[in-house]
Amino acid sequence: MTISSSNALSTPFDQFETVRHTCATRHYFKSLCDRFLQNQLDRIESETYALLASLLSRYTLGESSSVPAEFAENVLVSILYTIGIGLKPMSVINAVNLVKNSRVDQLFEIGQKRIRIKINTVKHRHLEVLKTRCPVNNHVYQSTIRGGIKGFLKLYDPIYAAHEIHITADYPTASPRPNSEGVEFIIDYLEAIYLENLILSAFPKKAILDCMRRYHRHYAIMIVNLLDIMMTQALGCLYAGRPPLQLNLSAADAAQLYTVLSMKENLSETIHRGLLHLIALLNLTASSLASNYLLAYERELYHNFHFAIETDTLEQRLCIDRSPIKRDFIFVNASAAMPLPDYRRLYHELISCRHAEDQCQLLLKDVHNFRDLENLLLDVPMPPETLHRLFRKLPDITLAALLVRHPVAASKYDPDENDSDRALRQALSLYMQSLAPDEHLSLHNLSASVTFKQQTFAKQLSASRHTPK
Amino acid sequence: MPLNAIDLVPRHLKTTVPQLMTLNDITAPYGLALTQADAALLLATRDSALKSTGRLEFGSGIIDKIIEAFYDSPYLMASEYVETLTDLIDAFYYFKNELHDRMGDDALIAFMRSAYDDPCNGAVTLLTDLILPSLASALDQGMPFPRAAKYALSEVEK
Repeated sequence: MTISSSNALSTPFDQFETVRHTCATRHYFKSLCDRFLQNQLDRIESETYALLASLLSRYTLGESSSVPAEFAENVLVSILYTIGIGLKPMSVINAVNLVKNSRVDQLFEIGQKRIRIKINTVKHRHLEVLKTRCPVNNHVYQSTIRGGIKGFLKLYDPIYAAHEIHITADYPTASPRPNSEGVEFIIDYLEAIYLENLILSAFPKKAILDCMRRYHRHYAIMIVNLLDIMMTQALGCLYAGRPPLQLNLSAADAAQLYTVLSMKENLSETIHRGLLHLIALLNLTASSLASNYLLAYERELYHNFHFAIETDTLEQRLCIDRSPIKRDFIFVNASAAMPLPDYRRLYHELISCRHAEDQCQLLLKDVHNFRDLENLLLDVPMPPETLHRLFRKLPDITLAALLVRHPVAASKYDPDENDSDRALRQALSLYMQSLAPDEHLSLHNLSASVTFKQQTFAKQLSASRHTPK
Repeated sequence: MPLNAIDLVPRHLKTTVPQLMTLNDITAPYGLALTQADAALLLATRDSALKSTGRLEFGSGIIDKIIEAFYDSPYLMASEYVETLTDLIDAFYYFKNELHDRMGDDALIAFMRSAYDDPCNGAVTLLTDLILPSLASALDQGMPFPRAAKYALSEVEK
């Protein structure tokens, strides 16, 4: 193949120019070599092997004549990647000429120089990312841009593993994860985070922090993309007529938003216009990298809204300001009302009753306080059948209060539980099992509303429980 | 161009039968000599050992080094010469992996030779089944090489 006859080869080389941008760096050198004649290929193969052997020998300090094949493969990939990095910035014609007229170790050295420049680019871009860092306390975000990139700079081996990054780069960027490898991946990844930081810095810090708190109570440990959350929220605010940069939406706004967006015939166009409006609001220059980055992300934003509307989950997708849930509380008086002599009298009457029905009647007639009832149920030994009969006659609220105090779902072994506690709990459990599902649910819901007037009731109860002698 | 490092190794760079045959000049005074078939067998053993241990040889190889290290051993008999060499070649590559490349070629061969004479008295199985595994285990436990070597050699007495 005659490289200098450019007219004859213009078409294939033009086609190859597109491959230069799409081909993975580690394969680029090989794809150029595939166009060479066999004798040229033999020379390149032989020189590549010589370079590989020389690097492996240097690695083993000349003490070993063999290495694990897996390691040798990795070093070979590193060589090919490095040569690819050196050749990619040139036009295909220049690259082919260079490969034809240079030894492989010279090509490797050109690649190494370019990698050193790229490592400096990583350091510079890392500083920019740190300067523009969003103040959100999200562990993955913060640890990736602080420790992750530092880890890369510390571990990166441009000779033996130039194509590796050695870190996981867990923080998901809004743009797809770069396809590149090695130092090129880190540059692309940092570029994406830097642009996201620039966009996020246009929002008030407080608005971002409030939005994240509303997003999820455990947002600090979640693997989420901050830009995705903020842009979806900002668009939501825009359509709901709220200031987009404040990122504040109420449940009513979300409901209104659902109506507004579901009525739009062309949601895609709506999202596009909204995004352009936001770009202007964020003071991003129309053709800047940041605005282009956002426009490239438009499709994802459209899917966010489209999916949320289709599945009726818009409220979950947006960070809604949710007031604490208002619940109706039922207060149960937990202080003892019965004088001790009366309690003793009733206790003796109850233990001398011969019939269960009599015990139930006595309790229902003479006990007017929850705490007295509970104490008697614990103090007076009663068979499960008697308790069951009594439970059927007790008001629901009293039963609900008993369920709160003696939860039937408690574990079987509780070191603090005595025999009478266990007997009462088991009787309650049997009673609950005998109820119809709707009655069971109703009682369960009622018990959720019960609250005791005395917070220290449990402690007082255990301290002051009196068993008459 | 192959993207596979093993396929990249040029055949002419590997040790050949004639190269091994030249070693007969130094081993002959000890009654040890390789035939062409023996040399071919040793090379085949080397290739198969490299394949089974997943290693790639990029240097001059170790067969000649093993021959040069062992030929003057009083325990190496002519009748067992080739068999012993094949066992030693197999063991060498296997234990390069087991030792996680912590020992260079020369150091490992020197240790094998030393142990082959004493305490193994020429018993290759003792070397490959007891001493070298003990050495690998001791190094894995973090012992420095001199202590690990002493420990491995003492295993025979136990």
